Amino acid sequence: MGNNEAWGELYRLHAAQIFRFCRRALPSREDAEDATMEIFLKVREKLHQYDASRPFTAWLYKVAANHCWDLLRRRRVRQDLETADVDELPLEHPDPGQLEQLIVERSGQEVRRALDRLPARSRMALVLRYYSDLSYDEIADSLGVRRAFVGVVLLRARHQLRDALLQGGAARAAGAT
Amino acid sequence: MSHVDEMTCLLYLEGQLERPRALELSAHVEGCGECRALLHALERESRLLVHALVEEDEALPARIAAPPTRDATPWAWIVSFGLAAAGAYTLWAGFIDPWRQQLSQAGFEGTNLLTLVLFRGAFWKGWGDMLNLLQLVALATLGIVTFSLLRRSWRRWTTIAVVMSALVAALTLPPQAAAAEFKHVDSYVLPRDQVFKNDLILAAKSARIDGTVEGDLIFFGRSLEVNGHVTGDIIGFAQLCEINGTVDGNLRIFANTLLVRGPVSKNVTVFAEYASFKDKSQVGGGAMLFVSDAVLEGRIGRDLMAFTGRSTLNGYVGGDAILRGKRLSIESSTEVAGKVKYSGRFPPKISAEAKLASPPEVHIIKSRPSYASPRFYLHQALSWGAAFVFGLFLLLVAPGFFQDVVRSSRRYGPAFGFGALTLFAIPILAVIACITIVGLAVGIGTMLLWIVALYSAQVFVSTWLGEALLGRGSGTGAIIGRLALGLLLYKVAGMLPYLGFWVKLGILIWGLGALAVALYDRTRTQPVAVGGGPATA
Repeated sequence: MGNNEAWGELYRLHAAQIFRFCRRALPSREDAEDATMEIFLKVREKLHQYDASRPFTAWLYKVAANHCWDLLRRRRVRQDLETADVDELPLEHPDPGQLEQLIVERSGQEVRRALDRLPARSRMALVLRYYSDLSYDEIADSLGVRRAFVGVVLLRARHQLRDALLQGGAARAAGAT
Repeated sequence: MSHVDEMTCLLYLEGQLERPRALELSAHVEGCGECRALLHALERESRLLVHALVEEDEALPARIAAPPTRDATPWAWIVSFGLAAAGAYTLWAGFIDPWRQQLSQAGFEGTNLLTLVLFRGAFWKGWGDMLNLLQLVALATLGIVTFSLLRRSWRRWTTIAVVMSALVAALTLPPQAAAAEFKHVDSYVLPRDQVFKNDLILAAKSARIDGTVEGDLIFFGRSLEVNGHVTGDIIGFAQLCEINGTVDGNLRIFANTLLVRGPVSKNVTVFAEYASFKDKSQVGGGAMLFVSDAVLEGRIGRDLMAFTGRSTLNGYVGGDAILRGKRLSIESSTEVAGKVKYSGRFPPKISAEAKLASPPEVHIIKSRPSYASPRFYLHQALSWGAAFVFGLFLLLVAPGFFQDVVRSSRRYGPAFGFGALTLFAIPILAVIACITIVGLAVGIGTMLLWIVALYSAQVFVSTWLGEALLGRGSGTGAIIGRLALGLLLYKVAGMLPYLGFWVKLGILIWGLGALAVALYDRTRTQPVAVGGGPATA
């Protein structure tokens, strides 16, 4: 793929997805716009490194994930501690009914708003898993954690998301009264 | 099997459990309603997440609708670089190098300012102090490297505490014997027949040196009177300095009033309100004066460079006399072996009996820039070129930080606030550090960094200005284009009569503040993304 037309076609096919990815992972729309352009410039430079035996979107998301994560790290957004918090993660059995109720009552927009309030690594982990559908190995590689901790990071992120959704719901209820 | 924990359920749903464990869980779930409900809830939560993340809530912004293009054709780069390099070289050859040569004749030689000040007689204290300085630098470097390596593994305050403790422990080790003796007294007198065989660092209200100091004399206080002999340099920070005796080295004075009546073998540098070199005074080397009121009746062996409010020349100058200030009076006993160059507000008064080797070159400074002169515009073009090259250097060396600072420029309030604070606070802190001997390197280093930061301020604000006009582009080429345009507009704005100064000052403060904000953001940790981050544009 060496000509401008093909490049344009590639961009048109994937730009919206990558922008949405950046929008989910980064704190502001402005950052997402800048990051989208920078990611595609990187993709163009690194196209020769793409292994055709793997799906292209997976590789594309990998480049995007690395770029966004580098940007967040450069800004020194505090990361959750790895090993120390593993022991603190409660291996509990949450109430399924309460969880169902929490899920049922929430719209996509509310979830996205709650996602914005999460710490960077938690948000990034959820986006990599549930938007980009990356494997645990790929997520571990992008976030710089051991594969064994990816599940912990994801579960912690889901707990934080639930708290954020509850806070959002409480704030809404307080505003309504 | 008891109820399954949430972690295991999640791993099962994600297909991350080993097969035997997964089969076990599957079998349990068939018979356990609660675990089945939990699995179901987690599955629904996953679907909700996917739906929320994948949902197309906003269109691709127009700004990024088109694919990014490669950087501009190389010839534009080559031309820009060529022009900028030519400008920088002309600046160097036309202005900086002649100054450097003048400074060299005044006794300031060296490849950089730090070397000049520290190691060329002015503050050089010998190899003992050099080693102390190196040890300090080595310890500081070790501390920084250790902290950088450990910061990911350790909690922050623990790391800092350990590193700082190690540094303090190292610093409390017995220091190498310094090549100087320090005295802090109310009043100090070195009697006539006494010889002080060492460098003398003296902090006193008043000091009188009637004897001999075999080394350097460094003084901090109200008044210093030297009637005896100093074999090294004299460095004085005082209200009143009287040098009646003999100085074999250099004389570097920061004072309100300086009176020189005796011989100084090497060079003289003076920052003072009033300086008088009486008729019996002799300076073997050159003299550099930054004085409000200067009277020169003695003998200066080499060049004289004076920045004064008012100068009265009535002695001998063995080299060139370069004077810049408001007024100059060349009296009848004046003799100048080299050229006389004067730049001032008012025409000089030159006695007909003065012996000048050649007619003086006089340049009367006008209060406003000479817009009619092509030279003025050439200066501006060179200044643009130098700033552009500097901006390119910053962009290529630290592109991420460069963009962070430009982004910080958009935060007007904090940028201006921090900028105003930094503009005045840093020099004050640097001077305070310089006053203590130990802090001299720190103080000078801080001032140098401050000057570099001031110069770079125009680069960041200019880039912001370019982006404001052309929109934010992507890629290095776009940033360079915006930098070039922004700098051009900045230079043009700076040429405005009366307003130009305020424009430049405002941009300096703004850029300095943006730099400070970006540095502050880099060192600050943000535990959580800003609450309620924008879900829509």
